Amino acid sequence: MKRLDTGAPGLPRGDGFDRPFPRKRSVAARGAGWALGAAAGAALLLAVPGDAYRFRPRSPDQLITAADSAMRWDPGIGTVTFTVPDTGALPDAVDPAMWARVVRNAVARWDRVPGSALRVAVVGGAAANTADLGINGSNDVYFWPQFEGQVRGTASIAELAGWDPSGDRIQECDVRINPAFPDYWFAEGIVEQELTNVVTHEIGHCFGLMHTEPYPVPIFLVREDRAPPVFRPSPTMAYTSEQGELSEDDRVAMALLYPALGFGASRGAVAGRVTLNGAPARFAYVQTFEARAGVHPGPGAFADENGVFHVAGVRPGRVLLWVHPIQVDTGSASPHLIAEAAAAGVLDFQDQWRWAEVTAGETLVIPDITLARGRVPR
Amino acid sequence: MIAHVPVAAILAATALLGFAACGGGEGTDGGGLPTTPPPTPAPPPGEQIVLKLASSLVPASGAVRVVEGGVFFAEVRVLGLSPGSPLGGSEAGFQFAVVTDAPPDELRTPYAVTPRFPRIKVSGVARFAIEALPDGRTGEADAAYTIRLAPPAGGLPAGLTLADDALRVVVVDSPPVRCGGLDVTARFGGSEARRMRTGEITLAASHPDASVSMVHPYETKIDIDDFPHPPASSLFTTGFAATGTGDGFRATIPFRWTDFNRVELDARLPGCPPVTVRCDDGCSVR
Repeated sequence: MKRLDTGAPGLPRGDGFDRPFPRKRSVAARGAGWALGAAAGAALLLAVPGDAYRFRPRSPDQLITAADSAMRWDPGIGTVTFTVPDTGALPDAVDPAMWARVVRNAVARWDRVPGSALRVAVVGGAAANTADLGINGSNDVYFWPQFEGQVRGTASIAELAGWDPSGDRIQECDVRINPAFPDYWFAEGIVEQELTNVVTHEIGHCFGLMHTEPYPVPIFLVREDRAPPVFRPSPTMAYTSEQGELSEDDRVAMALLYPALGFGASRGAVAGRVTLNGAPARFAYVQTFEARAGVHPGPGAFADENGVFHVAGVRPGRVLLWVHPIQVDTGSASPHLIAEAAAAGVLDFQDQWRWAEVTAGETLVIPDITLARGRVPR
Repeated sequence: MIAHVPVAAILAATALLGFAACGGGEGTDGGGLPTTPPPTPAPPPGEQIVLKLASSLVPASGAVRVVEGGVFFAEVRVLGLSPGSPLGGSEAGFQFAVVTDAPPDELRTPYAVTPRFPRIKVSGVARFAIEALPDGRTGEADAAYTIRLAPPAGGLPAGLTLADDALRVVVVDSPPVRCGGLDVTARFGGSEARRMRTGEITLAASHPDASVSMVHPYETKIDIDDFPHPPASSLFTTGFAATGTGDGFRATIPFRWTDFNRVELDARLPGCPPVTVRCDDGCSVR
């Protein structure tokens, strides 16, 4: 079993919130010992163990994968349906009507995403014996009694199952919520809102979306709810999301996996390589913003093990690229990716802005982005 | 269309892929469903094994446009491998070559740089870098080239073929850099409540590769032990407005910072000395 312990969506910021983050970890850099010239000339076989970000790769060896190499439902499926079995484990703060609304509203956020051909729907649920859940041919969303008593444990899980001869098809996904979570973590009065955000995030995993970065604001120094609102909320699939509706980053990710006719031709991409002291800036994050009046975050992407990034699904026009390190290291952010980035010294570089002009139907590869160390306080 | 897949078929054909556990806590394992790893994909036997050249960067309709100095990766994948194939047991994988019609001083592929043949494992994906080399030319038309797979020395093993795909790559001439083509202004906005100060920089650049870096936003004295890790600056932008102008951009970037920090940003064009913006009790540009 592969555990992707990589996110904490919708964690409340209200009174009594016991921040479940681990102690600060060392970000001391180890020398990467990587030569650009050598890498440019060598064929590389990826062999990095760990978890994945943004898209779910076919191979567990990959941390970062492009959309066209990622796991997904067969596009011909048309509609992915979810059921809501009654496991008898509703928490005190959630009544059956609220729970039905939560799942219905969460599913609705992923239905008819612009640019995506995939439909998403809820079908009727029924009382269920928990022994019958799991791999049963149905995509189930439910409170899982086995979580009870694990107040500080995992909040929620999206569990994928399936394979087919092409090796890249999802055939089932269950979302399991810890019944203790709403009662313990969610402030009174916002339980439904928070729970909807959590279920929305988990259902996103069911489509093959993995975690992504929050928008580049220092959310853990200035509380997000006091930060200027222009960059809020972060994407639903960010591991710190408090998002209500899907962001452009979420919508583009969905459209890249399940493109509607014409989506690819209507968007462009920008790619390149990010380096730090002559070595690949592995897992640096590249966030796009549309260069027009107002603040319009577009999609983003992590640089891969070779420091190469590929931001696809960008609206044509000029974009600003904001390159920054992974911003948070929560108990549920990927320890593998954080460790890999820390080992390469890529948690410690200065943010950088660059510009590019994106053309529909084309990928623009820009010259290397060269970063400088110095983000960590001295 | 609603998908109806027989449960028995799914039970026969599925295995747990894994799960994404989201939330804080002490790493409690959710436990649960079976732990069988996914089986190796099994296409019908008898199909030809094909090595296919691809790139995630290549859109269906167009080319990859690579600005001089840019690097991208192409991939080679194995298609059609079946368990019964005589090549299926090859742990060492297959060799292949990469050829291009581009001059070696324009486009560098691994074949041109490294006089040996890349190898792809049976179940893997081989990636190799392609780099558009700076050649100093300016004002010339963009050049288009193709990249293809080719047999290695000694030929291909029986049963293995190469897909007749080609990557189309357009090498884009980078516009010349004029070091004076960067205009930076800074405005100090004053102090606010909660020990915050405000400022705004405006950058007008004549070249798309103009960059702005934060140099000194991180001298925080706040005790960050309770925070997840150090990259938590006390400077943040509060928005920006950016528009295109000719070959370049104009961007206005307002920001805030705490009053015990000095803010310093470097704006620069490639190969030119930086223009430094410094804000503390006021803002200056030098």
